[in-house]
Amino acid sequence: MAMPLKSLGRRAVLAGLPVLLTPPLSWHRSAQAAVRRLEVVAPWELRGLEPAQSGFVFHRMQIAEALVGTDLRGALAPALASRWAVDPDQTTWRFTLRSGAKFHDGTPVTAASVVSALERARSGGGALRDAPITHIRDDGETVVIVTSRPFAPLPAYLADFSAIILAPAAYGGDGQVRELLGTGPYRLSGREGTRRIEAEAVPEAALGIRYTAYTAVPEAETRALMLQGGQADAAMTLSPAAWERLARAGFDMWLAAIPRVRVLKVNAAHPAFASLALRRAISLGIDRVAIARSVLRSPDLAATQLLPPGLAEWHRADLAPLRYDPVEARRLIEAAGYARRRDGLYAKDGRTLGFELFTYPERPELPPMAEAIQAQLRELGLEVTLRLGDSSAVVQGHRDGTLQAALIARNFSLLPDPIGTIAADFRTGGAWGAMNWQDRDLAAAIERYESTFDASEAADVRRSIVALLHHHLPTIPISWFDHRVGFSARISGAVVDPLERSYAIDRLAWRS
Amino acid sequence: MAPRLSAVSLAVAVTAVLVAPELVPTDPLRQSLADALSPPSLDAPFGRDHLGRCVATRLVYGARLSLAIGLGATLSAVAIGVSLGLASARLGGVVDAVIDRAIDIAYGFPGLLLVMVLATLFGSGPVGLTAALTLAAWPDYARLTRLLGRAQLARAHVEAARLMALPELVVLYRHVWPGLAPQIASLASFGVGQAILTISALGFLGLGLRPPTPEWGAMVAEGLSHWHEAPWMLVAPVTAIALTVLGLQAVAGRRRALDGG
Amino acid sequence: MWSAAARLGQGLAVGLVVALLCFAFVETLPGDQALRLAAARFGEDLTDPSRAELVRRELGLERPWPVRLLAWLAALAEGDLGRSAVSRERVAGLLAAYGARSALLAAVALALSLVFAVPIGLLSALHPGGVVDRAAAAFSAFTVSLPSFVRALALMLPFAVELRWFPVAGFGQPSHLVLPATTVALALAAVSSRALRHAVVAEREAAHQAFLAWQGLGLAARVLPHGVRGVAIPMVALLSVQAVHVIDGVAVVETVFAYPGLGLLVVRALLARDLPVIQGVGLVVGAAMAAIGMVADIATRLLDPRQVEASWRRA
Repeated sequence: MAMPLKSLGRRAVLAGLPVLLTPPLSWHRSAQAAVRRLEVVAPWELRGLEPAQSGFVFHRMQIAEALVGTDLRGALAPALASRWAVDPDQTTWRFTLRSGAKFHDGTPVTAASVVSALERARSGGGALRDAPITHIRDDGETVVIVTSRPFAPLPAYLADFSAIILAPAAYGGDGQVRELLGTGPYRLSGREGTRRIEAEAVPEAALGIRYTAYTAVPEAETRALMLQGGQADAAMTLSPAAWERLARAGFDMWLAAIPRVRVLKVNAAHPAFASLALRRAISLGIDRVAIARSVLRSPDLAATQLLPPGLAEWHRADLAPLRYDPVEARRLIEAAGYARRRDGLYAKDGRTLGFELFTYPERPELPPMAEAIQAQLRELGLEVTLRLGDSSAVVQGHRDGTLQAALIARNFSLLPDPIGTIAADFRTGGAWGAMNWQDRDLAAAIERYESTFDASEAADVRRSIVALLHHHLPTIPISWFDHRVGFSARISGAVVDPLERSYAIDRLAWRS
Repeated sequence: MAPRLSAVSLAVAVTAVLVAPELVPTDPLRQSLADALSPPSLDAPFGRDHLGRCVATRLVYGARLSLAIGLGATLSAVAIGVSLGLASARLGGVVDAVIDRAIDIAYGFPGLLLVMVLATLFGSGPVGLTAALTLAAWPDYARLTRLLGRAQLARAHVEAARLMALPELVVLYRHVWPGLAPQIASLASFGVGQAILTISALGFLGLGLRPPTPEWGAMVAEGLSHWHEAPWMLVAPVTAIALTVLGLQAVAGRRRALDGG
Repeated sequence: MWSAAARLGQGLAVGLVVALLCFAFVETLPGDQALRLAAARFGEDLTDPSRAELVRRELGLERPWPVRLLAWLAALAEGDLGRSAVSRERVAGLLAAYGARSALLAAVALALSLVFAVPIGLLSALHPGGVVDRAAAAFSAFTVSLPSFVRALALMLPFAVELRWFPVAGFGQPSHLVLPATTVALALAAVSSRALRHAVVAEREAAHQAFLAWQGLGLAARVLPHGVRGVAIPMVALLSVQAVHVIDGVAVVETVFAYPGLGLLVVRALLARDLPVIQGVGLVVGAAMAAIGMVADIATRLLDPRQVEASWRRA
C-alpha cells in the first residue's frame, strides 16, 4: 500500500528532529578547539585602555608590568626595575631597569620611555598622583625620581596598576592609549569592547600556557556555573554558597584573605558618634562573629581589629580584640546620659539615639550585613534606618557633611603598603576614612612612618598607628575579606595572590 | 471550576493581606542569625531567610505592599493607557499621530532613568515606585488599545451602534471595550506579577524599597543568591506572585463572561 | 496616509526628543556627575573629590548645561555621537556593537516565543476551561512570576552545565544565543500563548461568526478570512509591545548570561551618568521604537482593510 505523501513528510520530520537538536554539541567547541585557551572569568570589565582605568586587568593577566611588583607573599619585589635604592639625601631614588627588557612591539625598554609613561601616570587618576614626587628624569639606563620630602613608601606607589609601563608607540596622537604594548610574558592579541581580552605568550617566554583570555562576567553565580560547566578555567570572586558547592563537587577551590575590610565609616560630628565612649558602645553592640558566620560563611572573618592577620606586619596580636558585649555597651550609653524608653530605644533631651546607615548593593554582602547591624543595634537601643544607593554617594555625603554612617568595603591593599590607604583615610580624614575626626598623634605617626627609612623605627611607628586606630575607632571595623577563587581540573600549579595583583598564569600548566 | 478556585485563592490572599498581619504573632523583622537559612519547620512553615527571619511571616506582611504597588501601578497604567488608546483610535488624524508618537517616546525613554528621577522626587518609598511602574507600563496598554480599538471600531456592530446615534461613551463601553477587555485584562494580570518582580530587580540597584521592609519582590531579590541551599526563600514569594497572577486572570475571565464577550 | 518620508522624519524626531529628555532628566538627578564618572573610571576605592575634578576638567562638565547640550547637538549635526565619558570609546561604535547583539537576541527570542506560544495557545483554545487550558494558564502564571534569574538558571543547569550542549554564558558564537533567547522567549510565550488563546476563543464566540454560520458558510470559509484576521491583529499588537521590551528590558538576562546588549549598556551608563552613551542610546532606541510602532501600525491596517474605509467615513 502506498504511503500517503503527508505521512511520509511527517516521518521525515520526526526522523530529522534528533539531527536538528544535536549540532549544539559542537557549535562552541569548534571555535575553541582550534586553540587551547586558559579562560579567566572575573566580575570587572575594562574601562577603556588607560592604565589608570583598566591597568588592573592588564597587570593581573601579566600583559603589562610596573617598575615594582610583589611576590606571592605580598612583599615588594622587582618587576621592570631589577633593583632600586635611595640616595643619602633620602629624596633621590634610582631605579635600575631589567636588562634586555623589551616591549611587545620589539622596541627595547629605555629609561626615557619609562619616564614618559610615569609622567602620564602621575597626571592621570591613578594612585601615583598622591605621592609627593617633584620630578622624574632618566639618567642613562636609570630612572631617577625625586620626592619633595623623605618618602619611604615610594616603591609601593610605583607598583600601582596605573603605573604600568607601556611603549611610546602605545600612545596615539591625542595622548590616549591606542594599543596595549606592555612588557609582560603575555601579549594582547584581541579585544572585544570592554568585555573580553585575549592574550598570547610572547615567543621568548617558555610558558606552560600559551593562550589566555579574560572575560568580564558580572554575575557571581554565572562565574561559578561557567567553572562547573567547563567554560572557565579560573573563576574569581565567587559567593560563599557557590564556592562551597563547587568544593563539594571536587573543584580546586582556594580561599585567600585579602586586605579589604568592611568598616562602619562614621561622622564624628553626629551625636551618636561624637564621643569615643559612644563609638565604643556601638562597636560593642555589634555581634561580628554572628554576622560573619551567617552572611559571610566564615566566623574567622569577624574583625578583631582594623587590619587582618594576613598583613603580618600590621596586625597586632597583643591588642584586645573587638568584641560583642551589649551589657558593657549599655553601661557606656547610660553613662553618657541616655535613658531607655519604653520602646527600648535610648533617648536624651527628647532626642532618640540613632542614625542613618548608608550602604551600596554593588557589593552584594553589604546590604544583608547592614540589616543585621540594624537589628543588633535596635536590640541594643539605637534606631538605625537604612538607605541604599551608589558607592559614590559616600564620597558625596562626606564632602557635603550629610553622611551619618556608611558600611563600606575599604581596600587596604590598593598599594602593596597599607600606609597609602591609611594616610589617605586618617591623616586629615579622607572621603573613605575618618569624618570630622583628627588626631595629632596619629597624623604625626603617619608622617614619621612615611619619612623613616629605618626598619625598626618603621616597625615601632606601625605598632603605634595600629594602636591609635584601635583605641579611637574613627571607623569601626566589622569584618575582613575572603577572596574565593576556583580552578578547573584542566590546569595544575594554581596559586592565589593574596594582594590580587596577578593571576600567576605564568606558573600554570595544562594537566594532561 | 478552576477559575472559581483561583478566584477563591485570590480572595483568601486579599483577606490575609488585610487582616492577618495583626493576627500573625511573629515579627517579620526579627532576626536570628544563628538560624539563618534553616529549612521549613513547625515554627517557620516556609523556613528562614539569610538573616534568620521567618519567611512565612514576611510573606504575609509583605502582601500588603506588593499587592498595593503591583495592583496600583497596573490599574493606573491601564486607566491611562486605555483612555489614550481609545482616544487615539476613535479620533484619528493628528490626535492619533501625536499619541502614537508619545507612546514611541515613552518606549524609547529608559525606564530605569524614570525610576531614578521619580525616586528623587518621591523618595525611595512605595509612592515613587508605584508612579515609576505606572509610567513604565502605560504605553503597553495604550498601544494595544489603539491597535485593537481601531479594529473593533471598524466592525459592523459598532457602525450600527453609531448609526443609531448612541452617545459616544456608550458606544465605546458597550461595543468597543468588550472586544478589547480579554486581551487587556490578560496583559494586566501578568503586569501585576511583572511589576512586583521589577521591584526585585530595582533592589539590586538600590532603587527598591528601604530594607528591611518585607515585600515579595525584595524577598525574591534576597533569595536569588541562596537558590541552591535555601530554595524556600524563593519558592514562597514566587508562588505568592504566581497565585496572585492566576487569581487575577480568573477574575478577569469571569468578568468577561458576565459582560457577554 | 503618511508618506514614507514623513514617517522616517517622525522616527528621527522621536529619537531626538528621547535623547533630549534623557539629557534633561539626567541633569536633574542629584549627585555630582563628575564623581560618578570618576567612580566608574577608577573604581570605588579611588573615588575622591580630586579625581572628580580631573574628570570634570577633562570633559568640560563645569560648563553650563545649555552649552553642553548645544555642543552635543552640533556634533550630532555632523554625524558624531561623541565618546563615552567613562571609556572614551566612540558611542556610535558602542551602539552598533551592543545594538546588533540586542537586535539579534530580540529577533531570535521573539521567533522562539512564537514557536512555543502558537501550539500552546491553539491547544488551550480548543477546549476553553479544559485540562490543557488550565494547565497552560497555571504554567504561564508561574513562568511570569519566576524571576528571570531563576529561569536562566533553570536552563543553564541542565543544558549548559550538565549536558554541555551550550555555553553557560558569553557572546560571539551562535550557540551563545540559544539559552538567553530561550529564557526570554519563555516569558514572552507565557503571555502571548494566553493572548492567542483569548483571541481564538473570542473569535469563536463572536457574533459575526454565528451570523456567517447561519448564512451557511462552511468552517474554512468562516475562519480563514475573518477568524485569522481577528486573531492576527491582537497577536501583532502584542508582539510589537513585546518587541519593545525585549530590546531594552532584558538587562537581567543580559547580566546573568554576560551577553552585552543594550539593556546592560543603558544600566551601566545611567549609574555612571555617562551622558553621551545615554543620549546615544535614547536617540537610536527612540527611533527604533518609532519604527516598531509603524510596522505594527501598517501590519494591522493591512490585516484589516475595513479600518481604512472606516477612517474615511470618520473624516
